[in-house]
Amino acid sequence: MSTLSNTDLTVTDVTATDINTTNLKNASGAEASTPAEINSGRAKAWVDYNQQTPAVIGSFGVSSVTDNSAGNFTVNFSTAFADTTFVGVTSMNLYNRGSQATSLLTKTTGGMSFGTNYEASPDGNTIADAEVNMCVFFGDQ
Amino acid sequence: MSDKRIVYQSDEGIAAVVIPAPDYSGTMEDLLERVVPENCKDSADIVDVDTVESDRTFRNAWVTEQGKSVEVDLDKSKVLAIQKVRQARVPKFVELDVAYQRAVEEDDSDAKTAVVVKKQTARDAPADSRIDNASDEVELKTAMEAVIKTVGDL
Repeated sequence: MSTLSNTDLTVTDVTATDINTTNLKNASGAEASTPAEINSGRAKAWVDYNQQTPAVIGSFGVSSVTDNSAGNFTVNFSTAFADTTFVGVTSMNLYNRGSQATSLLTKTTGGMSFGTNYEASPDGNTIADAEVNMCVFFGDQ
Repeated sequence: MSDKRIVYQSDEGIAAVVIPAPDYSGTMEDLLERVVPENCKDSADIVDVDTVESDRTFRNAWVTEQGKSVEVDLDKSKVLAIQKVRQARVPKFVELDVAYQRAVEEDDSDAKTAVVVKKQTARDAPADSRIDNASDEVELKTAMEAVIKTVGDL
């Protein structure tokens, strides 16, 4: 292994298998991010899922989606998370409906289940299939 | 896009359907092993997508067992149909309560009688024999929609 120190080295079109670094910066030497920040900050999985058809429109890091029942689905990850401290962020839409919500139902290292509903009347909510479910997941795998 | 699905009977007694992601590159057999809960594997099967019911009206009445794709349980569907009728009449009861209150304020006995008749019709709607007499899910859906329309038109 060669070591260069205190040297400005300009290289273009680098092909490498592993780059071990302390910081990554932009071309001006600013906007530094550590590998830890990048690892924690990037989404490990995401999915765009329509439960009315139902169909997986697009995804990353997701093997499949399980249509469990009306307004209830599970996103199954390609790679399991290290533990259940990971985070899932969702948005949904039931077109032409009133007040709407997505609920977290279950969470395991291999997948996360959600329920979708809308306010059908002042007396309560109704479970329903959402046309748009966008889910993004962050955490350690 | 895969033309296959994994179906299995969940702990809740409802058929679950696994849809592979578009970029999933493994086999359906591997996916089944990974995502179907251990205690549900006995009922799991890989089926063609076009064998899975496409009408989700009675989604929670879907059932399956090994060797079969998804089927719609008619008895469970009737329970769901009655729930949907009950749900549909909630705003009608609110509307009729207002109409009755107005009839009381105006001391209009004919209007009061008319509201009472309509409320009784709404109360009886879930027991409409068209729902109970339906012989398949298509007939049941037609009956349910007709009963909901009857309630809506009161």
